[in-house]
Amino acid sequence: MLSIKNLHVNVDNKKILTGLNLDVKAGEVHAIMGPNGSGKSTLANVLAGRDGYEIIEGSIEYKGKDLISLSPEERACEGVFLAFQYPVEIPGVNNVYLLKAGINAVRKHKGLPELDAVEFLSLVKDKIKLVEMKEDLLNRAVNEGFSGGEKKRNEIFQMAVLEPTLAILDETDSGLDIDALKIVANGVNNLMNEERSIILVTHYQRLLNYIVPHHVHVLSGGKILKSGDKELAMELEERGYDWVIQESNAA
Amino acid sequence: MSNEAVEHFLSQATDLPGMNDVAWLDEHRKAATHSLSTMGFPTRRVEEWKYTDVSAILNKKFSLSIPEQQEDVETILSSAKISDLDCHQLVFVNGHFSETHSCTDELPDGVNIVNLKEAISKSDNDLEEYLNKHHHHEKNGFVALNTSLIADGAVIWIDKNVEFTKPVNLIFVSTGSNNTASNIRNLIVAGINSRVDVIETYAGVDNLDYFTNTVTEIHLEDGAKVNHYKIQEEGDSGYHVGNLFVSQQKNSSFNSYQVSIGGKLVRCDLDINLSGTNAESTLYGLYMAQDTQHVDFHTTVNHISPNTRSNETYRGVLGDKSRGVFNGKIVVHKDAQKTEAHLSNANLLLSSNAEVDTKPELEIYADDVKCSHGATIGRLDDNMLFYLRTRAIEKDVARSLLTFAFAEDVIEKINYPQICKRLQKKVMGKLPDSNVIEDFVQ
Ligand SMILES: Nc1ncnc2c1ncn2[C@@H]1O[C@H](COP(=O)(O)OP(=O)(O)OP(=O)(O)O)[C@@H](O)[C@H]1O
Ligand SMILES: [Mg+2]
Repeated sequence: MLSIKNLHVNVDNKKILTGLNLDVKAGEVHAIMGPNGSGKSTLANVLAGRDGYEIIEGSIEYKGKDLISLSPEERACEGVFLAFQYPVEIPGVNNVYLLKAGINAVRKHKGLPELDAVEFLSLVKDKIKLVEMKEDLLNRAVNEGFSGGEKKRNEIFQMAVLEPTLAILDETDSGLDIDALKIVANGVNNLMNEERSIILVTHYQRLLNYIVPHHVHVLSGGKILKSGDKELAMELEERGYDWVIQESNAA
Repeated sequence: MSNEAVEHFLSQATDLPGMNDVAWLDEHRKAATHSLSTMGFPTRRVEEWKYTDVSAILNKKFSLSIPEQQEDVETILSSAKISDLDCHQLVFVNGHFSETHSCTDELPDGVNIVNLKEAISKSDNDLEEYLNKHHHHEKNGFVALNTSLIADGAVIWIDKNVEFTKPVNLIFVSTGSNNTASNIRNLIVAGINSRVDVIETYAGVDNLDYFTNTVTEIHLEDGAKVNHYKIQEEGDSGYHVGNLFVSQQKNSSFNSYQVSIGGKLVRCDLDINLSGTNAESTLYGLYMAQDTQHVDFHTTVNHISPNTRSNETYRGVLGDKSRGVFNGKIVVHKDAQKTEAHLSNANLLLSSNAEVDTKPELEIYADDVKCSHGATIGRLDDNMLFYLRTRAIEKDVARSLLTFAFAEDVIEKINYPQICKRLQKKVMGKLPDSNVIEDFVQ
């Protein structure tokens, strides 16, 4: 599904990612943990195609294609989805119309007929239940005036509607109460099947009680220092990151 | 060059309505002609005209005579009308009233809507009292010219205590042959505690060199309430100079909505005078320009009496190689204590070749006032663009969406859904991929 090889990325001439390798197979959930400022969001943004990230070296292959050469919207059409760490407020752009335009763009790309108003509405009704989002948020401007938790729920709701093949969730669990956390997990678990993959960026082991990852990685100083399974997340929760960094320095 | 232009225009001041017959009007014309001859047309050496060069208008030798061919009237008129809006309608073709296209039947008592030419012929006392009451011709060459050549336009009288709810739509279309000029003078008088909504729509044929020089005077007596809408959709080669003068007596309330979309060179001035205590004004404006369009707004709000309030919000969208100018001035006179005045101007530049000059100005001569002003010039927000694109929205569509949302902030303030809809369509029509973003507006 996704293969990142020796990725070096600069932002404003500052080295952020310094030789990152990651392989994600279809049907897998990967958790990425790591200290603040280690480059997790940078990786997420690079995968989604944000401008301003200079790729110095390395490659990203997604479903056999060179991901780097695709625009953000082409990536979205190809099934890449980013749930933002800080969802953007867009005054004047209606939340549900954005989603309708989005899903129809994806369908068009796939050669499928566009959804009409009725079909779209029934899909929305379906998915909004899944994330237990208030219906009145649908007709508001995108994220404008949403509470922190509502923004995160909206991200998951969008994900549920767009049904991506590779979803990158950048700290979607941060700032959520325990009920909301379960709902987010529910959204993710509902989406998962053997054709889809998920990258979860998180600081808390707690999310991983609800979404069980196949692999857990520690990202620090712009590369992955250690990989393991769910047990690694438990250990990190207990011991922090320092030992991983020291271990890697010693090696 | 300016002198030549003055002579050229003034040589056309023959056969005007009431000339050599209505003495008071002759006086106004004479005074205006004198002003024009002494001050000439503005040049860029004058501070208020620093960014706007009107020599193209002066060089063209526009003619005020009625062109013979006017075959496009129906087409241009049907696109200028506001669909589904139940309104009284006065239509002017190249500055002259067109009875066949107008309809103002069944006016209630206390409301009078006529064309100026007819009003002059009846030599109404009220007309004498109000027309050019504040010697507007002294403002600049264009207002002086307009006053020298007073001939036609709309006159609206609302008697005291009359709440006239059906809006009046004044439609000014330009068509016919090149080098035609329209000189339009409108007068709106809202009596004590009356109310009226007036729309001015300017439209013209594309690829036609023409010039619209329009002046509207609005007088609000005590407690009057006027909503004024001006929709400027001139043809792409049209020149438009517009002046709006508003004088407000105590407790009156004036709302202005200016939307400028068309024209090659556009200059609009608004002069709002809060003369009576407790008068208030709210001004919204949107100017959009693309290609090589030039649009210049100069607004002045004079707080003359105590307890007056004004709130002004203008937005500009400049694309391609267009040029925008905004100058918003608030003057708080020395007796105008407890004034509250706010002004904001935000500009969106869509291309690196587009330019805008904005200058909010505050002149305060009273001490107990609450004033704020601010202006911004920005580009589309990268974070928003990226967010939309990750939701599969193409870059150009995302740009159009955000641009539209920026403009919509002003349009949505208009309380007639029919006008909003029409303006949304117009604005969208100027943006790439308008058919896609249409879905977003329902
Ligand atoms: N535009 C930029 N200019 C300069 N430095 C940047 C820019 N964007 C990111 N960085 C830097 O890159 C580093 C990695 O940032 P990133 O947001 O990827 O961290 P993160 O791992 O997601 O952190 P957190 O856990 O706090 O979300 C940080 O030091 C950050 O300051
Ligand atoms: Mg981050």
